[in-house]
Amino acid sequence: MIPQLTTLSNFKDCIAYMNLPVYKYLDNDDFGILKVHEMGISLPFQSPTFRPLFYTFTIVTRGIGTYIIGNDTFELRSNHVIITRPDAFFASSWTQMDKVYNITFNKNFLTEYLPEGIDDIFELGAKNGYSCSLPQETMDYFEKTCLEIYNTAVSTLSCKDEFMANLIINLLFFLQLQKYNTENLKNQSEKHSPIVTAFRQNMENNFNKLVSGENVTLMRTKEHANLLNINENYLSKVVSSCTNKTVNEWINEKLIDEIKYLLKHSDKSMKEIAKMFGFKNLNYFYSYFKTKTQNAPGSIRKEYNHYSQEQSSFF
Amino acid sequence: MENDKKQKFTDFYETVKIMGNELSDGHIGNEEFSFVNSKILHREHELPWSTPLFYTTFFSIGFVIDAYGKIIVDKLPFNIKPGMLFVNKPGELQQLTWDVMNESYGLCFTENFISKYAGISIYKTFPFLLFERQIPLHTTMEMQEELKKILLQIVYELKRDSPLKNKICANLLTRFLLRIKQEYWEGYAIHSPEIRDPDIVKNFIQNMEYHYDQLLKGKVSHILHIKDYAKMQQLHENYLSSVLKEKTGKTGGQLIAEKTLNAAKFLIADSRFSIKEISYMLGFSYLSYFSIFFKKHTGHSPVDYRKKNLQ
Repeated sequence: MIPQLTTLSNFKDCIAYMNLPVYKYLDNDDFGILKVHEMGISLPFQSPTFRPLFYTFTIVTRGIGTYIIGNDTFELRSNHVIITRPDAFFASSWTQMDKVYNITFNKNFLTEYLPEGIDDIFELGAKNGYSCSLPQETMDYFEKTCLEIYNTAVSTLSCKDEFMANLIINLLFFLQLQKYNTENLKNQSEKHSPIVTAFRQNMENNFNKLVSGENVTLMRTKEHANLLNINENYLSKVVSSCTNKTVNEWINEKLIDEIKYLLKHSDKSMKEIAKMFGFKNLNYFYSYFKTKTQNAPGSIRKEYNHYSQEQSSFF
Repeated sequence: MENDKKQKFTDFYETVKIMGNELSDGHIGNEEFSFVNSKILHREHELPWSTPLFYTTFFSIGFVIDAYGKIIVDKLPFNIKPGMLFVNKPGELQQLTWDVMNESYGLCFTENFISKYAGISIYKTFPFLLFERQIPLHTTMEMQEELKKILLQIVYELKRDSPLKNKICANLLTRFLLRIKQEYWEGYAIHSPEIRDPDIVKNFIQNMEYHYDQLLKGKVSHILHIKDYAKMQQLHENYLSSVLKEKTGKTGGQLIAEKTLNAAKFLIADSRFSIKEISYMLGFSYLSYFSIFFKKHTGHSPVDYRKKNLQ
């Protein structure tokens, strides 16, 4: 089943679009918490495709579902948590849902209470999300904190945003610790620099605009450097030394990720997709895609359709 | 009061000494953030027990559940009773005496700790900590329960020693302070710097905090000297200096230098500005002056500091 493609990006618009109740306590677009299992969703459920401006943090105590973000697919089972990045196509489906909490927060919300942004706490890198299963004890803690956030959200405390941000940050720390434990990593890798954060933000904005049709050119190193008022070489140097990836690698990866999603989960024609991302002619689009992925765009779409048909006939 | 009786504690280990002379379960943490369990520090046979008069360089929170004693802050004495919460800011002259000790905890933290690990500016989020004379607060049973829960989590994190220890502790500390803010300082706003306040020190700190806040936002690009602050309060600079020296134990120049150093650290960690730009922003006319100033106070040159921060 191909989800309906929308470019809705605000949290409340998304809920309203799915004909779900928009509770009164969700009084701004910056932050929201939902007890998803209490919303009266009929199962199995397939959401339309959104392009959220917010991070989604989902805690599945009991339930089975799938998140598709960009080119990544995350299978969710009981005792799983997942955090997903904004500015990518996003669709979800659920086959079972007994206890699921969903917390969403805008980038603005986070930077107001956490000036350095989420990358400082939680290293998502270039990935669209991170999901893991938690031991029972940690899960209990997460669930308890979720309820605390919910209670704060429905209360009328004057500094409730600050409290909620504080509790969210706390959960993110614990998730990060969990990640260290499972991956056996030391506190290393990405160093953070405001330039990198600003660059990635601009890149994501550029993609959002391309997708919504507000903008028709894909920004490359030169445009990014101009936008930040710094020298092109300096930008390249900072980005590659902090992230071990070059500016063009970032842009290409994101571009391929977006294209792959559209190929798999939408029925847009090649021509439309190519035009959307600023390719002037179709041949260049084909050859670009092929050099980056060693695969033609048409065959990706065909393979996926074939695969998903097999899957659905299998069930 | 004679001058030689006043002591000042800048070093963590000296603080440990003053708080009860042992580095054990009763006092865990480091020079930026530490937790005190007074019950373990002060055994029954040592009571009553009191500290000499001392100045601190950190914020401290005392959370009394069941204990009796006395605290003198800026020459004002208060009796400590169960259910009391007191918050002290750096530079306050204080003396603490315990008579009966059943359950009481303390937290010590520096401004740097909370801004470094929680990204929170005390000036913006908890202005009451900087500007208000702290009188002891009374806590309800419910509030005590909640605060104690947070404290237990802090102790757990301090002992667990995970790679994110400092950040999680800063996060929990923020929650602790937010509870206090919600309960006692709801709707508190900073007075605009134009309004004159009879308290000279408070006024000076307010002017200074405001100025540096603007400086970091890039709205002003020069630094103020003691002379300028004196003019703002319509005082003579010598008079302002002597008041500051008497009340805080530091000269105005020292206070300004400390603040400048913190601003410099913050700006250097942010790689958008070159060292040269930063030195002009902070009012140094030559880059070398800035380097010397920075090296004198931190032991690193600005460039080294930035490199270290990026590693």
